[in-house]
Amino acid sequence: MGAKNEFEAAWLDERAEYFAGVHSDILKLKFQGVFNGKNIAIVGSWNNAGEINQILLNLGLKLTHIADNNPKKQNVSRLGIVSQSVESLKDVENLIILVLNNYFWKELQFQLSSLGFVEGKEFYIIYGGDRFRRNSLRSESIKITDEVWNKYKKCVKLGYQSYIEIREKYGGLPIWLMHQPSLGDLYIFSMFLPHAMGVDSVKECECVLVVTKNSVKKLANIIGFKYIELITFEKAYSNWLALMRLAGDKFNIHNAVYHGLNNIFQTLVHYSDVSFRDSFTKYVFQFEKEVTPVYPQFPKRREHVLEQFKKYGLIPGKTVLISPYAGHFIATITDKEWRYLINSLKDKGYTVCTNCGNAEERPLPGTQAPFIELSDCIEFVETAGYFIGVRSGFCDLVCMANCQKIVIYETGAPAASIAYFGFKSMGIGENITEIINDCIHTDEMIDNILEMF
Amino acid sequence: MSDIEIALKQAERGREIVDTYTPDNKKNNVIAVFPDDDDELLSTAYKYFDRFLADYDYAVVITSIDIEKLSKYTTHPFEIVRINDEDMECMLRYISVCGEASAATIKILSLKKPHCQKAEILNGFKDLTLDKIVCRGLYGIWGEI
Repeated sequence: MGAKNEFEAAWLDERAEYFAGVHSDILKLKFQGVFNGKNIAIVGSWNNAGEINQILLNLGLKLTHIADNNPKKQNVSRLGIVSQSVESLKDVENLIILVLNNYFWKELQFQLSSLGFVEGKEFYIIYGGDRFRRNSLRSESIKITDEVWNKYKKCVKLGYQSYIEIREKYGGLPIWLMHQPSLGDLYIFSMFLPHAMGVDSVKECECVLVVTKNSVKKLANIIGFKYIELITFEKAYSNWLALMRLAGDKFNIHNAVYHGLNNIFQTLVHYSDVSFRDSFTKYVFQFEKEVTPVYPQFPKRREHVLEQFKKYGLIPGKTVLISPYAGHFIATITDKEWRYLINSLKDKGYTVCTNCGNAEERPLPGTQAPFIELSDCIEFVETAGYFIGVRSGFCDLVCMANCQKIVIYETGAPAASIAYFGFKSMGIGENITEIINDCIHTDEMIDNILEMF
Repeated sequence: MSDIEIALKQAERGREIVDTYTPDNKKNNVIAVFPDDDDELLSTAYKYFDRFLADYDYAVVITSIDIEKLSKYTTHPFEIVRINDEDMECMLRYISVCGEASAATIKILSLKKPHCQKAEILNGFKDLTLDKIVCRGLYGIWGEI
Protein backbone atom coordinates (compact mmCIF):
# COMPACT_ATOMS: atom_id res chain seq x y z
CA MET A 1 0.00 0.00 0.00
CA GLY A 2 1.39 3.41 -0.98
CA ALA A 3 1.93 6.29 1.41
CA LYS A 4 -1.23 8.11 0.29
CA ASN A 5 -3.38 5.02 0.78
CA GLU A 6 -1.82 4.39 4.18
CA PHE A 7 -2.74 7.91 5.15
CA GLU A 8 -6.27 7.43 3.87
CA ALA A 9 -6.53 4.11 5.72
CA ALA A 10 -5.44 5.79 8.93
CA TRP A 11 -7.90 8.57 8.33
CA LEU A 12 -10.69 6.09 7.68
CA ASP A 13 -9.72 4.11 10.78
CA GLU A 14 -9.84 7.27 12.81
CA ARG A 15 -13.26 8.15 11.42
CA ALA A 16 -14.48 4.65 12.15
CA GLU A 17 -13.15 4.95 15.70
CA TYR A 18 -14.82 8.33 16.06
CA PHE A 19 -18.22 7.12 14.88
CA ALA A 20 -17.96 4.01 17.04
CA GLY A 21 -17.30 6.36 19.95
CA VAL A 22 -20.26 8.56 18.99
CA HIS A 23 -22.46 5.46 18.87
CA SER A 24 -21.26 4.43 22.30
CA ASP A 25 -21.73 7.92 23.80
CA ILE A 26 -25.29 8.22 22.43
CA LEU A 27 -26.12 4.68 23.52
CA LYS A 28 -25.17 5.60 27.11
CA LEU A 29 -27.52 8.59 26.98
CA LYS A 30 -30.27 6.40 25.56
CA PHE A 31 -29.91 3.99 28.48
CA GLN A 32 -30.20 6.94 30.85
CA GLY A 33 -33.57 7.75 29.27
CA VAL A 34 -32.36 11.12 28.01
CA PHE A 35 -34.21 10.84 24.70
CA ASN A 36 -37.55 9.53 25.97
CA GLY A 37 -40.26 11.46 24.15
CA LYS A 38 -37.82 14.14 23.00
CA ASN A 39 -37.05 15.76 19.70
CA ILE A 40 -33.38 15.41 18.81
CA ALA A 41 -31.25 18.15 17.25
CA ILE A 42 -27.65 17.95 16.15
CA VAL A 43 -25.39 20.97 16.09
CA GLY A 44 -21.92 21.34 14.60
CA SER A 45 -21.93 18.18 12.50
CA TRP A 46 -23.16 19.30 9.12
CA ASN A 47 -20.62 17.25 7.21
CA ASN A 48 -21.16 14.15 9.30
CA ALA A 49 -24.93 14.51 9.53
CA GLY A 50 -25.55 11.40 7.41
CA GLU A 51 -23.40 9.21 9.62
CA ILE A 52 -24.87 10.66 12.80
CA ASN A 53 -28.38 10.17 11.44
CA GLN A 54 -27.58 6.53 10.67
CA ILE A 55 -26.23 6.01 14.19
CA LEU A 56 -29.42 7.47 15.63
CA LEU A 57 -31.57 5.28 13.37
CA ASN A 58 -29.60 2.21 14.40
CA LEU A 59 -30.33 3.08 18.01
CA GLY A 60 -34.04 3.46 17.28
CA LEU A 61 -33.88 7.25 17.57
CA LYS A 62 -35.13 9.86 15.13
CA LEU A 63 -33.24 12.98 14.19
CA THR A 64 -35.71 15.87 14.02
CA HIS A 65 -33.62 19.06 13.79
CA ILE A 66 -30.30 20.10 12.29
CA ALA A 67 -28.87 23.46 13.31
CA ASP A 68 -25.82 25.38 12.21
CA ASN A 69 -24.34 28.82 12.81
CA ASN A 70 -23.32 29.21 9.18
CA PRO A 71 -26.15 31.15 7.42
CA LYS A 72 -25.42 29.19 4.25
CA LYS A 73 -26.36 26.04 6.07
CA GLN A 74 -29.69 27.35 7.33
CA ASN A 75 -33.12 26.87 5.75
CA VAL A 76 -31.83 24.20 3.39
CA SER A 77 -32.86 20.58 3.25
CA ARG A 78 -30.37 18.15 4.76
CA LEU A 79 -31.44 14.52 5.02
CA GLY A 80 -34.96 15.73 4.35
CA ILE A 81 -34.85 18.08 7.31
CA VAL A 82 -34.92 21.85 6.82
CA SER A 83 -31.90 23.13 8.72
CA GLN A 84 -32.11 26.09 11.06
CA SER A 85 -30.01 28.50 13.10
CA VAL A 86 -28.76 27.49 16.54
CA GLU A 87 -30.66 30.41 18.12
CA SER A 88 -33.95 29.19 16.67
CA LEU A 89 -33.66 25.95 18.66
CA LYS A 90 -34.99 28.00 21.58
CA ASP A 91 -38.41 27.79 20.00
CA VAL A 92 -38.42 24.00 19.80
CA GLU A 93 -40.12 22.20 22.67
CA ASN A 94 -39.04 18.92 24.28
CA LEU A 95 -35.63 19.10 22.71
CA ILE A 96 -32.33 17.36 23.35
CA ILE A 97 -29.39 18.90 21.53
CA LEU A 98 -26.31 16.88 20.67
CA VAL A 99 -23.17 18.93 20.05
CA LEU A 100 -20.90 16.99 17.75
CA ASN A 101 -17.91 19.12 16.95
CA ASN A 102 -14.56 18.52 18.58
CA TYR A 103 -13.12 21.83 17.35
CA PHE A 104 -15.88 24.28 18.24
CA TRP A 105 -17.47 22.45 21.16
CA LYS A 106 -16.47 25.12 23.65
CA GLU A 107 -17.94 27.94 21.58
CA LEU A 108 -21.12 25.94 21.04
CA GLN A 109 -21.24 25.11 24.75
CA PHE A 110 -21.05 28.80 25.58
CA GLN A 111 -23.62 29.71 22.94
CA LEU A 112 -26.15 27.10 24.08
CA SER A 113 -25.65 28.00 27.75
CA SER A 114 -26.19 31.66 26.89
CA LEU A 115 -29.40 30.70 25.14
CA GLY A 116 -30.59 29.12 28.38
CA PHE A 117 -30.00 25.46 27.58
CA VAL A 118 -28.63 23.44 30.49
CA GLU A 119 -25.72 21.13 29.82
CA GLY A 120 -26.32 17.57 30.95
CA LYS A 121 -30.05 18.16 30.80
CA GLU A 122 -30.93 19.85 27.52
CA PHE A 123 -27.68 19.54 25.63
CA TYR A 124 -24.82 17.08 25.60
CA ILE A 125 -21.38 17.32 24.07
CA ILE A 126 -20.57 14.10 22.22
CA TYR A 127 -16.83 13.70 21.84
CA GLY A 128 -16.83 10.26 20.22
CA GLY A 129 -15.07 8.31 22.94
CA ASP A 130 -12.26 8.90 25.40
CA ARG A 131 -9.43 9.50 22.95
CA PHE A 132 -11.31 12.20 21.09
CA ARG A 133 -12.57 13.64 24.34
CA ARG A 134 -9.03 14.01 25.60
CA ASN A 135 -7.92 15.60 22.34
CA SER A 136 -10.81 18.03 22.51
CA LEU A 137 -9.71 19.17 25.93
CA ARG A 138 -6.42 20.29 24.48
CA SER A 139 -4.51 23.32 25.71
CA GLU A 140 -6.15 25.78 23.32
CA SER A 141 -9.46 25.12 24.99
CA ILE A 142 -8.21 26.29 28.39
CA LYS A 143 -7.73 29.76 27.04
CA ILE A 144 -10.99 31.55 26.55
CA THR A 145 -11.06 33.70 23.43
CA ASP A 146 -11.36 37.48 23.65
CA GLU A 147 -14.78 37.23 22.04
CA VAL A 148 -16.10 34.84 24.67
CA TRP A 149 -14.49 36.75 27.52
CA ASN A 150 -16.00 40.02 26.29
CA LYS A 151 -19.40 38.36 26.23
CA TYR A 152 -18.98 37.24 29.84
CA LYS A 153 -18.06 40.76 30.89
CA LYS A 154 -21.06 42.15 29.04
CA CYS A 155 -23.32 39.62 30.77
CA VAL A 156 -21.90 40.61 34.17
CA LYS A 157 -22.51 44.30 33.50
CA LEU A 158 -26.06 43.71 32.29
CA GLY A 159 -26.71 41.49 35.30
CA TYR A 160 -25.40 44.20 37.61
CA GLN A 161 -27.65 46.89 36.06
CA SER A 162 -30.69 44.64 36.44
CA TYR A 163 -29.71 43.76 40.02
CA ILE A 164 -29.23 47.43 40.99
CA GLU A 165 -32.70 48.32 39.64
CA ILE A 166 -34.35 45.68 41.80
CA ARG A 167 -32.14 46.33 44.81
CA GLU A 168 -33.03 50.03 44.77
CA LYS A 169 -36.72 49.36 44.24
CA TYR A 170 -36.82 47.24 47.41
CA GLY A 171 -34.37 49.18 49.55
CA GLY A 172 -31.68 46.54 49.71
CA LEU A 173 -33.77 43.56 50.83
CA PRO A 174 -32.12 40.18 50.24
CA ILE A 175 -32.86 38.81 46.78
CA TRP A 176 -33.46 35.14 45.96
CA LEU A 177 -33.00 34.24 42.31
CA MET A 178 -35.31 31.39 41.29
CA HIS A 179 -34.01 31.08 37.74
CA GLN A 180 -35.39 27.56 37.30
CA PRO A 181 -38.83 28.09 35.74
CA SER A 182 -40.42 25.27 37.70
CA LEU A 183 -43.41 25.14 40.05
CA GLY A 184 -42.00 22.18 41.96
CA ASP A 185 -38.70 23.92 42.65
CA LEU A 186 -40.48 27.01 43.97
CA TYR A 187 -42.81 24.92 46.14
CA ILE A 188 -40.04 22.91 47.82
CA PHE A 189 -37.84 26.03 48.17
CA SER A 190 -40.71 27.84 49.87
CA MET A 191 -41.12 25.07 52.45
CA PHE A 192 -37.68 25.81 53.86
CA LEU A 193 -37.19 29.53 53.19
CA PRO A 194 -38.91 30.59 56.46
CA HIS A 195 -36.33 28.55 58.44
CA ALA A 196 -33.50 30.20 56.56
CA MET A 197 -34.93 33.66 57.26
CA GLY A 198 -35.79 32.95 60.89
CA VAL A 199 -39.57 33.39 60.53
CA ASP A 200 -42.60 31.12 60.63
CA SER A 201 -44.06 31.54 57.17
CA VAL A 202 -43.32 32.76 53.66
CA LYS A 203 -45.58 35.76 54.25
CA GLU A 204 -43.16 36.97 56.92
CA CYS A 205 -40.09 36.63 54.72
CA GLU A 206 -38.73 40.09 54.02
CA CYS A 207 -37.05 39.32 50.73
CA VAL A 208 -37.46 39.73 47.00
CA LEU A 209 -38.09 36.69 44.86
CA VAL A 210 -36.92 36.95 41.26
CA VAL A 211 -38.61 34.43 38.94
CA THR A 212 -38.47 33.69 35.22
CA LYS A 213 -41.93 32.41 34.31
CA ASN A 214 -45.45 33.78 34.68
CA SER A 215 -46.86 30.61 36.23
CA VAL A 216 -44.06 30.59 38.81
CA LYS A 217 -44.85 34.21 39.64
CA LYS A 218 -48.50 33.27 40.06
CA LEU A 219 -47.61 30.43 42.41
CA ALA A 220 -45.26 32.70 44.36
CA ASN A 221 -48.17 35.08 44.90
CA ILE A 222 -50.39 32.26 46.12
CA ILE A 223 -47.70 30.98 48.47
CA GLY A 224 -47.44 34.43 50.01
CA PHE A 225 -44.30 36.11 48.71
CA LYS A 226 -44.67 39.84 49.14
CA TYR A 227 -42.12 41.08 46.65
CA ILE A 228 -41.85 39.26 43.34
CA GLU A 229 -40.05 40.33 40.19
CA LEU A 230 -40.38 38.58 36.84
CA ILE A 231 -37.40 38.72 34.47
CA THR A 232 -36.67 36.68 31.35
CA PHE A 233 -35.01 33.32 31.74
CA GLU A 234 -32.23 34.44 29.44
CA LYS A 235 -31.56 37.52 31.57
CA ALA A 236 -31.47 35.43 34.72
CA TYR A 237 -29.42 32.59 33.29
CA SER A 238 -26.86 34.58 31.32
CA ASN A 239 -26.59 37.86 33.18
CA TRP A 240 -27.59 37.38 36.81
CA LEU A 241 -25.79 34.09 37.21
CA ALA A 242 -22.65 35.49 35.58
CA LEU A 243 -22.79 38.38 38.06
CA MET A 244 -23.26 35.97 40.96
CA ARG A 245 -20.45 33.70 39.85
CA LEU A 246 -18.12 36.66 39.61
CA ALA A 247 -19.05 38.58 42.72
CA GLY A 248 -22.02 37.05 44.50
CA ASP A 249 -20.11 37.44 47.78
CA LYS A 250 -20.29 41.22 47.43
CA PHE A 251 -24.04 41.49 46.93
CA ASN A 252 -27.14 40.39 48.80
CA ILE A 253 -28.28 37.88 46.17
CA HIS A 254 -28.82 34.17 46.74
CA ASN A 255 -29.27 31.32 44.33
CA ALA A 256 -32.59 29.56 45.05
CA VAL A 257 -31.58 26.29 43.39
CA TYR A 258 -28.45 24.16 43.50
CA HIS A 259 -27.31 24.74 39.92
CA GLY A 260 -26.21 27.73 37.92
CA LEU A 261 -23.20 28.85 39.92
CA ASN A 262 -21.13 25.67 39.72
CA ASN A 263 -21.69 22.01 39.03
CA ILE A 264 -20.48 20.34 42.23
CA PHE A 265 -23.87 19.27 43.61
CA GLN A 266 -25.09 18.22 40.18
CA THR A 267 -22.00 16.05 39.70
CA LEU A 268 -22.61 14.30 43.01
CA VAL A 269 -26.32 13.65 42.45
CA HIS A 270 -25.54 10.69 40.19
CA TYR A 271 -23.17 9.12 42.69
CA SER A 272 -25.06 9.46 45.95
CA ASP A 273 -28.31 9.12 47.87
CA VAL A 274 -29.02 12.85 48.01
CA SER A 275 -32.54 13.92 47.14
CA PHE A 276 -34.29 16.91 45.61
CA ARG A 277 -35.10 18.08 49.15
CA ASP A 278 -31.42 17.87 50.12
CA SER A 279 -30.53 20.13 47.23
CA PHE A 280 -32.45 22.86 49.06
CA THR A 281 -31.92 22.06 52.72
CA LYS A 282 -28.26 21.13 52.54
CA TYR A 283 -26.92 23.01 49.57
CA VAL A 284 -29.08 26.08 48.93
CA PHE A 285 -29.83 26.84 52.59
CA GLN A 286 -26.81 25.10 54.15
CA PHE A 287 -28.81 23.84 57.17
CA GLU A 288 -26.63 22.01 59.67
CA LYS A 289 -29.61 19.99 60.95
CA GLU A 290 -32.77 18.85 59.25
CA VAL A 291 -35.78 21.10 59.70
CA THR A 292 -39.49 20.49 59.44
CA PRO A 293 -41.01 21.76 56.22
CA VAL A 294 -43.49 24.62 56.45
CA TYR A 295 -46.18 23.65 53.94
CA PRO A 296 -47.59 26.62 52.06
CA GLN A 297 -51.30 27.19 52.61
CA PHE A 298 -53.54 27.47 49.57
CA PRO A 299 -56.83 29.36 49.54
CA LYS A 300 -60.09 27.40 49.66
CA ARG A 301 -62.56 28.25 46.90
CA ARG A 302 -64.93 25.33 47.39
CA GLU A 303 -67.92 26.93 45.63
CA HIS A 304 -65.89 27.75 42.54
CA VAL A 305 -64.48 24.22 42.36
CA LEU A 306 -67.92 22.69 42.83
CA GLU A 307 -69.20 24.81 39.95
CA GLN A 308 -66.46 23.37 37.76
CA PHE A 309 -67.38 19.84 38.80
CA LYS A 310 -70.98 20.57 37.81
CA LYS A 311 -69.95 22.12 34.50
CA TYR A 312 -67.83 19.10 33.52
CA GLY A 313 -70.17 16.44 34.94
CA LEU A 314 -67.68 15.29 37.55
CA ILE A 315 -68.82 13.55 40.73
CA PRO A 316 -67.37 15.04 43.94
CA GLY A 317 -65.65 12.31 45.96
CA LYS A 318 -65.69 9.91 43.03
CA THR A 319 -63.53 11.63 40.43
CA VAL A 320 -59.99 10.81 39.37
CA LEU A 321 -57.81 13.71 38.22
CA ILE A 322 -55.05 12.35 36.00
CA SER A 323 -51.97 14.51 35.49
CA PRO A 324 -50.05 12.88 32.63
CA TYR A 325 -47.66 15.70 31.70
CA ALA A 326 -44.34 16.84 33.15
CA GLY A 327 -42.13 19.75 32.18
CA HIS A 328 -38.94 17.80 31.60
CA PHE A 329 -39.97 14.48 30.19
CA ILE A 330 -42.78 12.62 28.48
CA ALA A 331 -43.99 9.56 30.31
CA THR A 332 -43.72 6.28 28.41
CA ILE A 333 -47.41 5.47 28.68
CA THR A 334 -49.28 5.16 25.38
CA ASP A 335 -52.74 6.54 24.60
CA LYS A 336 -53.95 2.94 24.48
CA GLU A 337 -52.71 2.35 28.03
CA TRP A 338 -54.22 5.58 29.30
CA ARG A 339 -57.49 4.68 27.57
CA TYR A 340 -57.52 1.30 29.31
CA LEU A 341 -56.98 2.95 32.69
CA ILE A 342 -59.66 5.57 32.06
CA ASN A 343 -62.29 3.14 30.74
CA SER A 344 -61.66 0.76 33.65
CA LEU A 345 -62.07 3.60 36.15
CA LYS A 346 -65.32 4.66 34.46
CA ASP A 347 -66.53 1.04 34.60
CA LYS A 348 -65.94 1.17 38.34
CA GLY A 349 -68.19 4.25 38.59
CA TYR A 350 -65.63 7.03 38.64
CA THR A 351 -65.60 10.17 36.52
CA VAL A 352 -62.17 11.03 35.10
CA CYS A 353 -60.58 14.31 33.97
CA THR A 354 -57.13 15.45 32.81
CA ASN A 355 -54.90 18.13 34.29
CA CYS A 356 -53.39 20.11 31.40
CA GLY A 357 -50.89 22.89 32.11
CA ASN A 358 -51.25 24.64 28.76
CA ALA A 359 -53.06 24.53 25.43
CA GLU A 360 -50.51 22.15 23.90
CA GLU A 361 -51.18 19.51 26.53
CA ARG A 362 -54.22 17.64 25.23
CA PRO A 363 -56.80 15.92 27.44
CA LEU A 364 -56.38 12.16 27.65
CA PRO A 365 -58.74 10.03 25.49
CA GLY A 366 -62.31 10.13 26.74
CA THR A 367 -61.74 12.94 29.23
CA GLN A 368 -62.07 16.69 29.45
CA ALA A 369 -59.59 19.11 30.97
CA PRO A 370 -61.15 21.61 33.35
CA PHE A 371 -59.05 24.73 33.77
CA ILE A 372 -57.59 24.39 37.24
CA GLU A 373 -56.17 27.60 38.66
CA LEU A 374 -52.94 26.94 40.55
CA SER A 375 -54.56 28.35 43.66
CA ASP A 376 -57.37 25.79 43.38
CA CYS A 377 -55.27 22.68 42.77
CA ILE A 378 -55.54 21.31 46.33
CA GLU A 379 -59.23 22.10 46.64
CA PHE A 380 -59.80 20.46 43.25
CA VAL A 381 -58.09 17.14 44.06
CA GLU A 382 -59.65 17.05 47.52
CA THR A 383 -63.07 17.54 45.98
CA ALA A 384 -62.29 14.87 43.36
CA GLY A 385 -61.05 12.41 45.96
CA TYR A 386 -58.43 10.77 43.75
CA PHE A 387 -55.26 11.87 41.97
CA ILE A 388 -52.99 9.93 39.61
CA GLY A 389 -49.99 11.87 38.35
CA VAL A 390 -46.81 11.34 36.41
CA ARG A 391 -44.06 12.85 38.60
CA SER A 392 -44.03 16.58 37.96
CA GLY A 393 -44.10 19.84 39.86
CA PHE A 394 -47.88 19.54 40.08
CA CYS A 395 -47.41 16.47 42.29
CA ASP A 396 -45.41 18.67 44.69
CA LEU A 397 -48.27 21.15 44.90
CA VAL A 398 -50.83 18.51 45.86
CA CYS A 399 -48.54 16.40 48.06
CA MET A 400 -50.45 17.35 51.24
CA ALA A 401 -53.94 17.19 49.76
CA ASN A 402 -56.37 15.06 51.71
CA CYS A 403 -57.25 12.46 49.06
CA GLN A 404 -55.87 9.28 47.53
CA LYS A 405 -52.70 10.17 45.62
CA ILE A 406 -50.76 7.95 43.26
CA VAL A 407 -47.51 9.21 41.71
CA ILE A 408 -45.86 7.42 38.79
CA TYR A 409 -42.06 7.46 38.40
CA GLU A 410 -40.15 6.07 35.44
CA THR A 411 -37.05 3.93 35.21
CA GLY A 412 -34.22 5.63 33.30
CA ALA A 413 -35.83 9.06 33.27
CA PRO A 414 -33.75 11.41 35.44
CA ALA A 415 -36.66 13.85 35.72
CA ALA A 416 -38.87 11.11 37.16
CA SER A 417 -36.37 9.31 39.36
CA ILE A 418 -37.91 7.92 42.53
CA ALA A 419 -34.52 7.96 44.26
CA TYR A 420 -34.10 11.69 43.75
CA PHE A 421 -37.66 13.02 43.48
CA GLY A 422 -39.47 10.38 45.55
CA PHE A 423 -41.74 11.84 48.24
CA LYS A 424 -40.89 9.11 50.73
CA SER A 425 -37.17 9.54 50.15
CA MET A 426 -37.62 13.31 50.60
CA GLY A 427 -39.81 12.98 53.69
CA ILE A 428 -42.34 15.32 52.11
CA GLY A 429 -46.09 14.92 51.63
CA GLU A 430 -48.54 12.52 53.21
CA ASN A 431 -50.20 9.27 52.16
CA ILE A 432 -48.74 9.10 48.68
CA THR A 433 -48.58 5.79 46.82
CA GLU A 434 -45.46 5.76 44.67
CA ILE A 435 -45.25 3.49 41.63
CA ILE A 436 -42.43 2.91 39.15
CA ASN A 437 -43.10 2.36 35.46
CA ASP A 438 -40.26 0.25 34.08
CA CYS A 439 -41.68 0.85 30.57
CA ILE A 440 -41.80 -2.92 29.99
CA HIS A 441 -44.60 -3.96 32.32
CA THR A 442 -46.75 -0.84 31.95
CA ASP A 443 -49.97 -2.88 31.54
CA GLU A 444 -49.31 -4.62 34.85
CA MET A 445 -48.55 -1.30 36.50
CA ILE A 446 -51.93 0.02 35.36
CA ASP A 447 -53.65 -3.10 36.69
CA ASN A 448 -51.91 -2.49 40.01
CA ILE A 449 -53.23 1.05 40.06
CA LEU A 450 -56.75 -0.18 39.26
CA GLU A 451 -56.65 -2.54 42.22
CA MET A 452 -56.52 0.53 44.46
CA PHE A 453 -59.97 1.65 43.24
CA MET B 1 -14.14 52.05 42.12
CA SER B 2 -17.36 50.09 42.69
CA ASP B 3 -17.46 46.48 43.87
CA ILE B 4 -18.32 45.27 40.40
CA GLU B 5 -15.48 47.21 38.79
CA ILE B 6 -13.04 45.81 41.33
CA ALA B 7 -14.30 42.25 40.75
CA LEU B 8 -14.04 42.62 36.97
CA LYS B 9 -10.53 44.03 37.31
CA GLN B 10 -9.60 41.09 39.49
CA ALA B 11 -11.04 38.69 36.92
CA GLU B 12 -9.01 40.37 34.17
CA ARG B 13 -5.89 39.79 36.27
CA GLY B 14 -7.05 36.20 36.83
CA ARG B 15 -7.35 35.70 33.10
CA GLU B 16 -3.75 36.90 32.62
CA ILE B 17 -2.56 34.36 35.19
CA VAL B 18 -4.46 31.46 33.64
CA ASP B 19 -3.27 32.36 30.14
CA THR B 20 0.31 32.81 31.35
CA TYR B 21 0.51 29.35 32.84
CA THR B 22 -1.50 27.50 30.21
CA PRO B 23 1.06 25.55 28.20
CA ASP B 24 0.57 26.12 24.48
CA ASN B 25 2.76 23.38 23.17
CA LYS B 26 1.08 20.37 24.71
CA LYS B 27 -2.24 18.74 23.98
CA ASN B 28 -4.81 17.51 26.46
CA ASN B 29 -3.75 19.73 29.34
CA VAL B 30 -5.48 20.46 32.58
CA ILE B 31 -5.00 23.11 35.23
CA ALA B 32 -5.51 22.09 38.86
CA VAL B 33 -5.89 24.92 41.34
CA PHE B 34 -5.04 24.37 45.01
CA PRO B 35 -6.18 27.46 46.94
CA ASP B 36 -7.08 25.84 50.24
CA ASP B 37 -4.86 24.66 53.12
CA ASP B 38 -7.48 22.28 54.53
CA ASP B 39 -5.33 19.29 55.55
CA GLU B 40 -8.06 16.67 55.25
CA LEU B 41 -9.01 17.87 51.80
CA LEU B 42 -5.39 18.03 50.69
CA SER B 43 -4.59 14.49 51.80
CA THR B 44 -7.63 13.22 49.88
CA ALA B 45 -6.68 15.27 46.84
CA TYR B 46 -3.13 13.87 46.97
CA LYS B 47 -4.50 10.32 47.16
CA TYR B 48 -6.34 10.65 43.84
CA PHE B 49 -3.91 12.98 42.10
CA ASP B 50 -2.27 10.17 40.11
CA ARG B 51 -5.63 8.81 38.97
CA PHE B 52 -6.72 12.30 38.01
CA LEU B 53 -3.62 12.95 35.90
CA ALA B 54 -4.07 9.63 34.08
CA ASP B 55 -6.79 11.28 31.98
CA TYR B 56 -4.47 14.03 30.75
CA ASP B 57 -1.14 14.41 29.01
CA TYR B 58 0.10 17.26 31.11
CA ALA B 59 -1.00 19.31 34.09
CA VAL B 60 -0.16 22.64 35.62
CA VAL B 61 -0.90 23.00 39.32
CA ILE B 62 -1.40 26.58 40.42
CA THR B 63 -1.33 27.10 44.16
CA SER B 64 -1.08 29.72 46.85
CA ILE B 65 -0.17 27.18 49.54
CA ASP B 66 2.70 24.79 50.17
CA ILE B 67 2.06 21.56 48.26
CA GLU B 68 5.56 20.59 47.23
CA LYS B 69 5.01 17.00 48.40
CA LEU B 70 2.38 16.55 45.70
CA SER B 71 5.13 15.27 43.39
CA LYS B 72 5.55 12.20 45.61
CA TYR B 73 2.09 11.01 44.62
CA THR B 74 2.49 10.65 40.87
CA THR B 75 4.91 9.92 38.09
CA HIS B 76 2.73 11.69 35.52
CA PRO B 77 4.21 14.93 34.18
CA PHE B 78 3.10 18.15 35.81
CA GLU B 79 4.52 21.40 37.11
CA ILE B 80 3.71 23.52 40.12
CA VAL B 81 3.32 27.29 39.92
CA ARG B 82 3.18 29.26 43.13
CA ILE B 83 1.20 32.51 43.22
CA ASN B 84 0.26 34.87 46.06
CA ASP B 85 -3.11 35.03 47.82
CA GLU B 86 -4.17 38.16 45.99
CA ASP B 87 -3.54 36.64 42.57
CA MET B 88 -5.30 33.45 43.68
CA GLU B 89 -8.43 35.44 44.50
CA CYS B 90 -8.26 37.10 41.08
CA MET B 91 -7.88 33.77 39.35
CA LEU B 92 -10.75 32.17 41.25
CA ARG B 93 -13.07 35.01 40.23
CA TYR B 94 -12.10 34.54 36.60
CA ILE B 95 -12.53 30.77 36.64
CA SER B 96 -15.84 31.11 38.48
CA VAL B 97 -17.39 33.64 36.12
CA CYS B 98 -16.46 31.53 33.11
CA GLY B 99 -18.44 28.68 34.66
CA GLU B 100 -18.95 25.74 32.33
CA ALA B 101 -16.54 27.16 29.77
CA SER B 102 -13.69 26.57 32.22
CA ALA B 103 -15.01 23.61 34.22
CA ALA B 104 -13.74 20.93 31.83
CA THR B 105 -10.15 22.08 31.86
CA ILE B 106 -9.63 23.89 35.16
CA LYS B 107 -10.28 22.04 38.41
CA ILE B 108 -10.44 23.85 41.73
CA LEU B 109 -9.52 21.66 44.71
CA SER B 110 -11.50 23.35 47.45
CA LEU B 111 -14.77 22.91 49.28
CA LYS B 112 -15.14 26.63 50.00
CA LYS B 113 -13.49 28.49 47.12
CA PRO B 114 -14.50 30.24 44.97
CA HIS B 115 -17.12 32.01 47.07
CA CYS B 116 -20.06 30.11 45.52
CA GLN B 117 -18.60 26.63 46.07
CA LYS B 118 -20.32 26.12 49.47
CA ALA B 119 -19.52 22.40 49.55
CA GLU B 120 -18.08 22.04 53.07
CA ILE B 121 -21.47 21.07 54.42
CA LEU B 122 -21.77 18.15 52.00
CA ASN B 123 -18.79 16.33 53.51
CA GLY B 124 -20.23 13.47 55.57
CA PHE B 125 -23.83 14.12 54.58
CA LYS B 126 -25.64 10.85 53.78
CA ASP B 127 -23.23 8.78 51.69
CA LEU B 128 -21.15 11.75 50.55
CA THR B 129 -17.58 11.09 51.64
CA LEU B 130 -14.67 13.40 51.07
CA ASP B 131 -13.27 10.78 48.67
CA LYS B 132 -16.43 10.95 46.59
CA ILE B 133 -16.59 14.75 46.66
CA VAL B 134 -12.95 15.12 45.64
CA CYS B 135 -13.02 12.48 42.89
CA ARG B 136 -16.39 13.20 41.32
CA GLY B 137 -17.13 16.77 42.30
CA LEU B 138 -13.71 18.41 42.20
CA TYR B 139 -11.40 16.37 39.97
CA GLY B 140 -14.30 15.26 37.77
CA ILE B 141 -12.92 11.74 37.43
CA TRP B 142 -15.12 9.51 35.30
CA GLY B 143 -15.49 5.78 35.70
CA GLU B 144 -14.07 3.59 38.46
CA ILE B 145 -11.99 5.09 41.23
